[in-house]
Amino acid sequence: MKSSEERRDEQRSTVYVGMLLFSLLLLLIQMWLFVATLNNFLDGRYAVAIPAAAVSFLCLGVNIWMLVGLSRMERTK
Amino acid sequence: MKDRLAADFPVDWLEDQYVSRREFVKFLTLASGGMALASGALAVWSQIPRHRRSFDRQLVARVTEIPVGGWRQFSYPRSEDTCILIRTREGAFAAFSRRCTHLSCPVIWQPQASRLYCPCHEGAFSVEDGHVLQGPPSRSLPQIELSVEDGAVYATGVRRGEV
Repeated sequence: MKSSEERRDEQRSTVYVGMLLFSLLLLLIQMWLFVATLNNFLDGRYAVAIPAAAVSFLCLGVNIWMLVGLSRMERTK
Repeated sequence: MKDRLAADFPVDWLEDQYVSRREFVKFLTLASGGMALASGALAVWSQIPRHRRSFDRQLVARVTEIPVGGWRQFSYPRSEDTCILIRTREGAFAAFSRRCTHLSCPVIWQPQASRLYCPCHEGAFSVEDGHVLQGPPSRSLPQIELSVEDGAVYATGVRRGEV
């Protein structure tokens, strides 16, 4: 029988891994956006650069927010 | 020997190579910041005006050398940038890069159809402003800006084709 503290640790660990994978997914989206923008640049199309940069900064914001959240979660442990 | 090495360098290899989850998330956030900065740099770069560029004036041909409907190949602005000068009608000249915007095959002037034709993949461009008439190219042909002075045609700049 697991204690409530052990179960809480397991839950924390699951949340941690989930956020880590989400962070990885966001980074992959950013890489895809960057490569797609470069590809469009080579084809002479520049219109996608600003929306792609906006989405990329949004992903960065979410990543920073998650990093801060994880640090806070570790501190309260 | 191994014991002495371990005593002189007391580093736990596994512990030294261990990357905690927190460190990994930090690394991901750092990489995310790098990608965001790179995308931001591209966005700034996209705002730099590059539609029209001026180069040194270059004599292309004398007006009398090219009959109406005739053409001449020349290089501008660099020796490897082949272009085509066309006398579309009396007193009117047009010049474009000869490099097809699809896969860089040289375009051919077709006076009967009044268009520039790429035989590689059947792309065609208007002789008026170089816009795409048919085929796979997605961009117009870069247009060479011309000035006619004292019976001679000069190339003065390059105007990049709009999408």
